[in-house]
Amino acid sequence: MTDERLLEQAASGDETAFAVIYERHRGLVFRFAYRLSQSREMAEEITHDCFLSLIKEPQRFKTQEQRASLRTYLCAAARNLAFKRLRRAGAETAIDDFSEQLAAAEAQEPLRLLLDAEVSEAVRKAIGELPPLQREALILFEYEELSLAEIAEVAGADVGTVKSRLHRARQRLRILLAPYFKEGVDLNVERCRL
Amino acid sequence: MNYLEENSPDRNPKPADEVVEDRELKNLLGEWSPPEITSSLDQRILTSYRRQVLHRPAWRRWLTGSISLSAPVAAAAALLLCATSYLAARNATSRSLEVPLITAPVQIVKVPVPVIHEKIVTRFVYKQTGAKKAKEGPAPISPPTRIDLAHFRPVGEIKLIVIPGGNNEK
Repeated sequence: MTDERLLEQAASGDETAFAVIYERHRGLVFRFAYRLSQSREMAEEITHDCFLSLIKEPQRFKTQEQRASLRTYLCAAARNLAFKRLRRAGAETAIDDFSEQLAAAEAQEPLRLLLDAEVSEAVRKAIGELPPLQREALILFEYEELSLAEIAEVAGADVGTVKSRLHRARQRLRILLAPYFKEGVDLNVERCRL
Repeated sequence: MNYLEENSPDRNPKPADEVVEDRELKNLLGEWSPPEITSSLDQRILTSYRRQVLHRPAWRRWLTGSISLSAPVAAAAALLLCATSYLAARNATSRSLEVPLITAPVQIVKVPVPVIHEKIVTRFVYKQTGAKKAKEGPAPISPPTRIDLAHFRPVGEIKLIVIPGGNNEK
């Protein structure tokens, strides 16, 4: 059964239909919200609000039905909620004030980073230091494997802009995670050595 | 750096149309995985859903509810509605033409309407002053306003009559 049909049934009180929709998309929404906000609590709040707003105002999705799938609609809703909360928390400002010099200094100390935290923590930190719009494009493309057109729908931008953001995000991650890009270094082997 | 600067067209590079897959970066990014969704979140969302939808007041469900119809059923229903409306309108028109004009018997009822007759009576009230003087003689002739002596002729004979007791009444 299609998402649209399930949504209609869920909005009219069919709990089973809602459970199916939730089961289908909760992983995507939660993962995206978590990677964007880097906070479990915030990701849970966003996921909750996202699905509830979908049920509360299903017509908002119906108006966009012609051009968007429920997947991209939910991503867009999660994105807006996450940015609103990040803005309120002042996180965006902190990320905008990102200094490449500082990043370069940290990149010169791979051993310290590896000692201090797991590789995943380094990746998490590096992604967290990306500007939100670049972070959004990277997460949706690399992790959720959305197409550029779908990301453009989510972000409300054109495909060229999305490509540009993705390109810049990758460039920055290459700088931030430079110590882990040593040729021939297997991350698992490296971790075993530590 | 703000968003506008970040995304201004002149700062944006022009990457190739196809996004080249960066396998090395993708592997590295895969090292960071998000936590699992807790069952408490699932439960919280389902509870909120029940509160939102199932416990919604009946009037609100009635106002905001919708039904879905497949396109063929909707088209058939629309056609049926149109046909029914057309036939109903046609029957009403023909019936109104066929019905002869029946004049209902008119019953004339006389209803007495009370008429108020107003009679205007004009009365003149004279105030009688000096009634006795009026009885004694004719009303005094008012003196002419102008005395003209042009045709005055002195009489030839004067006859004097003396009436006695003129002042007896006093």
